[in-house]
Amino acid sequence: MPFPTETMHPTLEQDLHLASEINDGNREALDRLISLYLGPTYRYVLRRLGPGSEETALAVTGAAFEEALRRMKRYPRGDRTVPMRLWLLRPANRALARRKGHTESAAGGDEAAVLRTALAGLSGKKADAAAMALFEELPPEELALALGVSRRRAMILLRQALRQIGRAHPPSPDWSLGG
Amino acid sequence: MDNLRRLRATSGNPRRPRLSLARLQRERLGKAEGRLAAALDQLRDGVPLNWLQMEGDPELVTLARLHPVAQEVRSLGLEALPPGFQESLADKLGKSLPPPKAKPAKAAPKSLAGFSENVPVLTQAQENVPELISRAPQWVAATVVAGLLVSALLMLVAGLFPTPRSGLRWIEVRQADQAALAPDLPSDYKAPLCPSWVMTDTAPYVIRNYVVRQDKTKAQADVDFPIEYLPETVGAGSVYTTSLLETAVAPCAGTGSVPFSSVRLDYLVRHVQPDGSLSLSALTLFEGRRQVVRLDADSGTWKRVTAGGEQGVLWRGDSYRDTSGNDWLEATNVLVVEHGEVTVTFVGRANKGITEQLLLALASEMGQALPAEGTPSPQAARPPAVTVQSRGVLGQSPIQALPFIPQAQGQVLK
Repeated sequence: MPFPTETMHPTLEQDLHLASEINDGNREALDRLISLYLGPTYRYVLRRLGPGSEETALAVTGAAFEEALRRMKRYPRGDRTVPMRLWLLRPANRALARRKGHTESAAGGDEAAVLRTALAGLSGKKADAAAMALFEELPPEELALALGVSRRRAMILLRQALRQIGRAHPPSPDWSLGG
Repeated sequence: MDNLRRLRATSGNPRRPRLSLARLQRERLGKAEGRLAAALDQLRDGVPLNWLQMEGDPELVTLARLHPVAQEVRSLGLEALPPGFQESLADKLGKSLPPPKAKPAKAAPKSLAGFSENVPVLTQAQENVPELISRAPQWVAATVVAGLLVSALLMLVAGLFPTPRSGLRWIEVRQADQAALAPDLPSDYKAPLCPSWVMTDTAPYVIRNYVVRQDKTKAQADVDFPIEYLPETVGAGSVYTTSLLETAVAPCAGTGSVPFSSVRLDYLVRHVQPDGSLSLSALTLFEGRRQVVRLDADSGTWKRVTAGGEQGVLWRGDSYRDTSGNDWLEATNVLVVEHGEVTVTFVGRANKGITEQLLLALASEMGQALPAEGTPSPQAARPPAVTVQSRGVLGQSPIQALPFIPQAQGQVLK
């Protein structure tokens, strides 16, 4: 099976094939995995860290890929297969959590900074659920797969996160829909 | 206790649920979780939440508040990664790869049934005696004459039946890595040289980074063609109204780079059903000048269409990734039409009301409003655009009694 190209939307089978080849020590497969998924993973990390944190984002992304490579033998197979782009968000979230001091900095000014501050106040999976739902616009099923929990659990986590953010940062009295 | 052991034996780790996409999609949600899941899907479709949904649900209010902010955050990190980072990471990780496994060598092909290499087969005796005079010069001459004749015949046929041209300048349909419909590019065409995206035969699809523009004037200043917007109403069997939700521009290089920019317009389409009920659906448009639009026909079906005299291609299928990287995963209609050097791509879900008939009607309406080919300056050609309504315009333009507009005729050419 040929490896997917950089601009393709890889299928689950192609993701599985990549994982299998990497586990077999195929350097070309590793290069392809990096070229396919480094950009999206970096973007997610940078969105969470905020502008001005590009260096940290690169370090976190690198750490996420290192962990992903170590865990590649545990890449889910069969009917439990998870798209690689979602599976890679798991080590990215763990790497972000390890740098909690830098995570969700208030950089960027205005509302985006407030949002990151709010996310920084959340714990573990609640912060991950809110960040992936908001920044990556993951639909509920993908959010569940990225978190490694059921869809119901993912929605509960997101609801709790939104509740906590809403209480910590209530809307201004003049806030209105679309404003 | 026995039951617990049995459960552990069958499911491996009892703490970890067996997750799969199909299983997750079947999973039933509670009322509150279901509302939140529906709200996420709705926002992803580009449809803002409304007050009725959020009433008594403070979490949805927070979601509606945060969503526009998150949209701004999404523009972060769209620049290319620092040069060399990918290679250095690959080198670093490559060292921790396990040693390459030797692939099992392919077994030598077995001989056919009934044949054994152990049985010697004797060569047959040569019966013909070779000629003493060489006929090589005659054979060479005959070959040359035959070649000339074939060439002349081919030239004659080519003159009588010229190669059919697609008539489409900027639209390409690819199937199995081949051009099923090749664009007739103008002789002076030069492929855009944009550092962040390059479309080549080996990388035929590009994802571009769109940055939201707050109003039409700012968006217009970033492109070198007049941005065309959808009509507010259109009749395609029944009445549809459109609301512009967002305008975004993808520059070729950095900000303020005008040539080869692309515009994305996110619309909300309201449709009054015959029974008076209202349906809402998302429709996204991409516009670009002198840029090839490629459609992948490996999946789905496609055909050539005309809408109001404009030619185009309609593709439909279940999986489409648009040029801003959004995935459209269900019954998706993609219509690409050309007006001069500008291509307009419409993307929407057929099962949400964005039908072929509607797309053709919209393209037809837009075509009538577009300036003639060769109109040089968009700013000079069009009056200054009005300010775009910001996100969340739902409910700001009430449905009125609308005039009926004759529907466009979509002509299938292929």
